[in-house]
Amino acid sequence: MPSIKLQSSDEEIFDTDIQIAKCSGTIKTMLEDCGMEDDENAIVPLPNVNSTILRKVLTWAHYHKDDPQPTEDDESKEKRTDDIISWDADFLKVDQGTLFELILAANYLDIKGLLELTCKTVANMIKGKTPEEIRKTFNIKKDFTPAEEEQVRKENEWCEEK
Amino acid sequence: MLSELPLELLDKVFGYLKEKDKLNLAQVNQQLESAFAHHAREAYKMLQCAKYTVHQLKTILTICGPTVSCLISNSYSLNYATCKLIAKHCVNLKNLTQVVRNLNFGACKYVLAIKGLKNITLLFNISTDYEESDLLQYINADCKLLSVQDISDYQAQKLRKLVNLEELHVAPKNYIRNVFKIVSKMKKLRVLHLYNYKECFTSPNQYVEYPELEEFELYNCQIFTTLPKCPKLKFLRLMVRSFIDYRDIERYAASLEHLQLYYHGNLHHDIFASILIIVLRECKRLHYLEANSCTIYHVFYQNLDSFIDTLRTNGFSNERRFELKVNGCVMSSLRDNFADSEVWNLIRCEEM
Repeated sequence: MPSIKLQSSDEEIFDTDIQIAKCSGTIKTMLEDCGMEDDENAIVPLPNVNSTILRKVLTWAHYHKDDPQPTEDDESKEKRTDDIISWDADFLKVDQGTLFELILAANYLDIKGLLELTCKTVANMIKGKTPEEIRKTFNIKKDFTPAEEEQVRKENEWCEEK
Repeated sequence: MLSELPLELLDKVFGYLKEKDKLNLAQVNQQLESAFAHHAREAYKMLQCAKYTVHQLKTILTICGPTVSCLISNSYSLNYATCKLIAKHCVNLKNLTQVVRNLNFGACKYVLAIKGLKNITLLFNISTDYEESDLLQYINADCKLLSVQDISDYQAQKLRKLVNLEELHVAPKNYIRNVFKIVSKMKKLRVLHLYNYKECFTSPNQYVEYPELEEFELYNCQIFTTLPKCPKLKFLRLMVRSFIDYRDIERYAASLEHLQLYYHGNLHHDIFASILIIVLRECKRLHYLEANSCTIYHVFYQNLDSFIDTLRTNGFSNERRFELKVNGCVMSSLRDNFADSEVWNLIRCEEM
C-alpha cells in the first residue's frame, strides 16, 4: 500500500498510509496540487502540528479510515452531542491542553470528523454549567474591568428588583 | 485554553449548545462574550422577551442589543431594569410590541422613548382601579405607526399630541370620547383603523378633516356622527353596526379606489344594495368592491341593470374589469341564474 511521509513541527517523520493521510483535506490538497502522490520520498511538512498531536490524529484517522465522508453542515438541524461512540470517548480521555490542540490540528488539517468530535466533547463539558462553573472547568479568569464588574453588579441588583 | 480558540472554532462549539448554555458561556469572559455576539449574528433580530429569564434577557440585551430590531415584550417580569437595558442597548430598535400592565406601566416609558423606534404596538392590560399617568407623552418623535389596544379614555385623549404619526390603529377598552376630533390633530396621518369604537350618542357632530388620510377602516364600530372629510382617501373599509348615511361615502368620490363595505345594522339589504349603486355611480375611480353575499345578491336581483350601466359609465369593459370580492357563497348561483348577463364581461369576481 503506498505511503507518504508526514513531518511534524518538531521534525518527527511519520510514514503514513496515503489513504489515511488523505482523510485530511489539507494533506490531500497538498499531495494533489504538488504532484507528491507518486514520490515515495516526498515529505509533507506540517509545521502547525507537533508529533504528540500528530500521532493522536493519525491514530484517530486509522480507526475511522472506513467512515463515510461527513456531509455538509445543515445549520437548521439541531446538532447532537450525545452520539459519540465509546472508542472516541476513550480516545478523548486526555488533558484539556491536548483536547484543544487536537481541535486546532483537526481544523488546520481539515479533518471534519475529528473537528466535530472534539468540538462536541468541549460542548459536553459546558452543558448544564453556570458561568462560574465553566470558568472553574476550563480554568478561565474573569477579565472584566473593575468598572464593568461594578456595572454588572448594579444591573444584577436591578434585575433582582421586584 | 477554551477562550483562546480562534473565533470560527468557538463558533462551532457554540453551535453544539442549546441557547441556555450559550448564554451561560457568553458570560464567562470577554472573548467568549465576543464569540457569542459573532455566533448569534442576527438570531435576536426579533426578540421575544417572554422566552427568557430576566438574567438571560440581560445577557442577550447587553451583548446583542444593537442587533435587535423587533422586540416583543409580553413578559410579566419586565421590570424597570430590563426596560432601561432595552433603552440602553437596543439602539437599532424599529418595532416594539409591549404589553402594558400595572407593574411595568412606569418602566415602559424608557422603551417608548428609544430614538428611531418607528412602529409601536401597545397592548394595555391595566386594572380599572389603576391610576394611569400620561404614558404616550414618552413616545419618541420618530414613531410613525402606533397601534393601541384596550386603551382607556384617559390615555386616548393624550393621542392628540402625537402629531408625527402616519398610521394609527385604535381599539378602545370601553367608550372613548371624540376620537375623530383627536385624530384630526395628526395632519400627517395616512392610515387610520378604528376597531370596536363605540361613539357616545351625545358626541357633538364635528366636521373634521384628515388632509393626508389614504386608508380608513372602521371595524365593528358604532358611529353616529358624520364621517371625517378625507380629500386623499383611496381605501375605505366599513364594518359598522350603527346606521350611518352611506351617502357619506360620496364625499370620498373624487379619490376613492378601493371599498370594503360590510353592513350589520337594521337597514334591509335591498335598500342597502340600492344605496351601494348610488355610491358606485358617484365614485368614478373605484375599481374594487368587497361586500357580503346578501348585499351582492340584492345588487344582482334588484339593481343589475343599474349596476351594469354604472360600470359602463365608469369605464369598465372586457379589458378593464371591476374587481368584486364577495364574502360568502353566492357567486355560483348568480352565475347560473344570470348566465347571459353582460355583467360577467365587466367584472372579475372572487369569493372569500
